[in-house]
Amino acid sequence: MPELSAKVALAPPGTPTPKGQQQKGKDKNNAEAQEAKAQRKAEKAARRAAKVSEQGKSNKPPPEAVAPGRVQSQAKQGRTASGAGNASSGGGGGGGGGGSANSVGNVTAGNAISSLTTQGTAIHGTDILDKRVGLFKHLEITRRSGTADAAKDIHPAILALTLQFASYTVIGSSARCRATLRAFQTVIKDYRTPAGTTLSRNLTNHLSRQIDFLKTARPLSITMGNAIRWLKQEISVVSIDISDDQARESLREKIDTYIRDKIEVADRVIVQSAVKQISKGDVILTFSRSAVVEQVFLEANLRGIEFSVVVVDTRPFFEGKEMVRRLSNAGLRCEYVLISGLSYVLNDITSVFLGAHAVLSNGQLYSRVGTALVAMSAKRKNIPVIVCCESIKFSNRVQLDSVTFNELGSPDDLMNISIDSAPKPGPLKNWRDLPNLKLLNILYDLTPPDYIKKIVTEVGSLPPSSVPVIIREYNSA
Amino acid sequence: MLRFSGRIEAERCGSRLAKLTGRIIQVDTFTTEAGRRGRHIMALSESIPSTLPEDSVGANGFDIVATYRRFLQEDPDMTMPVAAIESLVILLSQTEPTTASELMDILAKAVAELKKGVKNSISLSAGCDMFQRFVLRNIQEYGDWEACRRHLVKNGGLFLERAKASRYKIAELGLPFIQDDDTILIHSHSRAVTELLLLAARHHIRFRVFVTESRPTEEGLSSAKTLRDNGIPVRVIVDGAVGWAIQKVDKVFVGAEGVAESGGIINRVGTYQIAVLAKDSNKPLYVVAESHKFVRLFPLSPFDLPNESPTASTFTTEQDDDEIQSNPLLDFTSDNLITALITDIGVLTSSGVSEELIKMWYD
Amino acid sequence: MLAAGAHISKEKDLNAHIEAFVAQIKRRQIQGSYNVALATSQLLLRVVSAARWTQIDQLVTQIKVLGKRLQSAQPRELACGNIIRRVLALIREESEDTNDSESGDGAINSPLITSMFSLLSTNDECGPNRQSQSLSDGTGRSIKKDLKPYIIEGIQELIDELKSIDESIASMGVEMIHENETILTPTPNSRTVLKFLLRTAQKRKFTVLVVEVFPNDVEKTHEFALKLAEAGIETTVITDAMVYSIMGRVGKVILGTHAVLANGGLLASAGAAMICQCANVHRTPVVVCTGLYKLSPMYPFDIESLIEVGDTGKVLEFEDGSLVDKVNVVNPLYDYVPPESVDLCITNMGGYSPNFMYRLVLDHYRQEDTTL
Repeated sequence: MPELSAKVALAPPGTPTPKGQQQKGKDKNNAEAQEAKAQRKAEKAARRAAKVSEQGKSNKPPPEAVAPGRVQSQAKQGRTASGAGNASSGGGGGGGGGGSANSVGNVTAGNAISSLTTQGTAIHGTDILDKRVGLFKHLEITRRSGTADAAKDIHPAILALTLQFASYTVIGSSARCRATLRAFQTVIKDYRTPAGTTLSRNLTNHLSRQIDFLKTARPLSITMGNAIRWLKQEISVVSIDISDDQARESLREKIDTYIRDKIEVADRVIVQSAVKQISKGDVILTFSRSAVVEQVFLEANLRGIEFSVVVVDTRPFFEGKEMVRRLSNAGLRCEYVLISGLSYVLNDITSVFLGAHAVLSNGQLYSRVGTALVAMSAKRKNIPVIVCCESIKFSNRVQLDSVTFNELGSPDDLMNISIDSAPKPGPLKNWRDLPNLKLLNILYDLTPPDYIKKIVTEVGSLPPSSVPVIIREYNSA
Repeated sequence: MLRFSGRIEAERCGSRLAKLTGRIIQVDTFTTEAGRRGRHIMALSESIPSTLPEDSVGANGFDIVATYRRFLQEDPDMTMPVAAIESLVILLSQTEPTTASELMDILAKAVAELKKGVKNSISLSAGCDMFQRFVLRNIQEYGDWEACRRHLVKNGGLFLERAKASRYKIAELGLPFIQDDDTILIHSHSRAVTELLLLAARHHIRFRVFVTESRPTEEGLSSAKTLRDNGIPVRVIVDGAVGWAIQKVDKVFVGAEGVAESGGIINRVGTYQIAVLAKDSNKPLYVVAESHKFVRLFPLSPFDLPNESPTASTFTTEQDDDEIQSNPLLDFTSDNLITALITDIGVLTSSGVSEELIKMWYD
Repeated sequence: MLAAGAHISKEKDLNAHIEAFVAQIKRRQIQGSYNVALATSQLLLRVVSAARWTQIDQLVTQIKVLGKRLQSAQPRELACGNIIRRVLALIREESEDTNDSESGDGAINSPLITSMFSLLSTNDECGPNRQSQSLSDGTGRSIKKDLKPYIIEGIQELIDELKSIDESIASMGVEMIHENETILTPTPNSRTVLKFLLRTAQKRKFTVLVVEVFPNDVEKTHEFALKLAEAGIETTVITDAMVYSIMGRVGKVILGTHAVLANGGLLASAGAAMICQCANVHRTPVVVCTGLYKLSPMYPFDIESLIEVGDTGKVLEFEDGSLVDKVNVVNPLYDYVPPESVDLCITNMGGYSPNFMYRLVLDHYRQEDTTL
């Protein structure tokens, strides 16, 4: 596994330790300040790493994105493409590569800030295509490993965020949405309208290019999609009579309000409502980690309700570990089990609390892969399944199975058989040599509405069948 | 006598199970001869009955229905099939048939009379069927019907004792099903279930019991009393509250009036709805019943059972004061709702019941 | 005198051997139910060869005592007890056959199974100690024939059966798998399933989805996938969590098992219950491949006591000390799969529906041996 060793060896000195950074980056409680700080740190790390990699460039070929040929040709064209501000450049390989100091990154930069699942971030462009599992060939693997190919107009905040997404340092749909909006605030702050156009016209294009670059790390989450749609709408209605400074300031405030209303206040309302579902003596099961569910448990604990939590977790991210760490630090009684032991712990469970990546218009819950199994098993035992979810996660998409639309993770994540941050390649380390052997790593699955008793949102508790009603109200408002 | 019925067991096993089990059992030439003779007698018994005089049973003035009722009244511990068997034994002791077919005919007539005379005849017919099959089998295999009659008459009292012993055996087999801190739901009154719970209490297992009131007979109250008298904590709930209680219940035990060929059970009305609720909540439901309650019926719904309360499904616009009392007493619970049957011959699945019945009726 | 001495030293030998065996299974040095079954039957062969008895129930008691010891050494390895019970049944059968033919009257005092007629037959067949009584009744008479060679032959046959089990199960593969089918297996540590798939691959082209069953035996699991791929089978490894999302595309779920219980329920590797349930929800047939030695006469009264719990260090690394202290980590090794989740059990005696397993139990074991 050359990628692995290369990555470990090339980690630049002076970058913050992965663990510390990850914890800071993810801390919800003192979100604002911490987040900004982490963000700055990440940017700094990206820049530093770029320098280091420049030095080492001669003996290391630049990493390839999905379409290497295209990237190279664009790189030759320099920044002509970016100068045109082409809004419809698509999701693929991003802009051209440039040597300019502030935007260059490399594989090492990506890995420097990656922490949780560091392995195998660099993928050989050609063999992913051959080694994709038949059923999922329509899905793209878009995980990037560096920012060397980024166009000049991609803002450093976006570069840093892209790497954080790619390395799953920022993970979870609310967290990603919030981080994106914060990055956009910086982008807007630094944005200067070029001569001969207006902010309301040009800023949207500028943002689109940033978004396209973000997409090269991972597909947009539903929350990000909803937020971006809202932001573009807001930009388009900025009056041409006010100055750019005023416009920038007003957009910054609007984003603040949006984050506060749609995520922070929403979470608080959900917590207040969901905590009523917890009573003394309950044993509550949850899967993986959801920020809002975690807050519900912490609140119930603060209120002095005696209950315990069973956290079910799964490979390859082990997000539940973070959950169980926070809960047990708060003094909650916790049990930790991997999903294969689910039936063993299910007998004493009184209710199941789940988070969501998205809730689709047909009532299906789109969430971390494994959620459907947990909900199914609970339903079979007649244990109520409660989903906590902000309305920003509602999508008007419809979907019936987990195959048609999903996100593919790196297959190499499965080859690693370690349970902590140090990668440990198992017997499958040479899996690419066997043409018949494939590893499948999808990130989400779809839980049918009949497994879900109730969805707690900031606009009230509702059955899955009422999701389209909320979406309609939400869109008309 | 000992050798005689040991022989029956051996025969039964030898001729039928050898195929199933792959075991080789020493069977001498006698078997085939007996088998042939048996078939001959079968033919006889099928053709002759109608030629016998109508009053051959009534002639000695024996009232089988009254005998049956007296048995049940005198011993509250006696189940209906056993009462039926005991009544038939008394009948045999008072008659002196001259041929095998006459013996069979006397039995057939008495059984018919008993089934006609008793309203709730499913359970007793299980006993009657088994008794008739036993006699027929003996005659078929040995031809010595007189010996068989003598054996039955002589051992009359024994059957009752054994039926009681089999309840104890059930309790022993069922004991591991009850664990400390269990909340158990039982329905109405069943001697076998009560026996099991009492045994568990004697083994110092600590558990609680929900007992349904079980209208209209309110037999649940007597179960509750028995259990409480023995130090078991009980809560009596109305039948309608089962849905409320089921979440808190760990397992359900019910008795049975009869166990049908499919492994489904015929029991006190209300059992079916409890079973449906238990299935919905994924709680195990165990039937506790003696194997002599296996009956060769295959109902698909309660309307396939003998109709004991004809007015229950008529609708009126006027008030009917007997309405409650004319409710049906039995319902049918199909095998897919039953987790397992705890019987004196082992813990069985539904196919176990039908295997036993097939073996009994297979010639 | 000399002969007696030789006998004593032989006995010592055997005792040492038993001692070693008990230690081995206690420390899990013999792994997998197949190996345990084979080792147990070989041990019994030695025990029976060395044993001396005048009455058959002495031998039965001796083996029962041994069985009890083995069982308490490793209570969750049911294969051990199963083999003991099968040998006990074999001994009883041999002795009954002999009594039968020699006493001439042909009475078999202990019926194969009690049945509904027991209510009406004679007294001593229904008493609670009928079995033991009848056994001593039967064997109290002097035995003219030496049973030892017959019993040894029986055990030898049992060993041969064990050795050919995978072969006979694998041969049913073509009846189970059709061309281009997608198979999912949640028990990639099963030797039987591996042979089943490899053998079937000679006649059929199909795809196998291998579920990891993380964290136990994950190396074995991955090697399982490698072996399939090397044999030219299209193989995809998926994590446990992905089963639901892909079940809709699966033709059959094939699983191996640790033990089959009397009600047709199974003990299989952790996660199997959930995966079978998932198959049930998607109406995907669940096929179990198992050798008869895994069939246990036990009924799953207390499921939790049957499930072995493994090393929690495989779930949460010990260096994460602060967490390990505060959090209760669970790592069950097995799952109980209820019989209603299973559609078919393929054994070396053919395919059966799970609710017929009780019959196989009655065929191969004696009720009186259920508790050793």
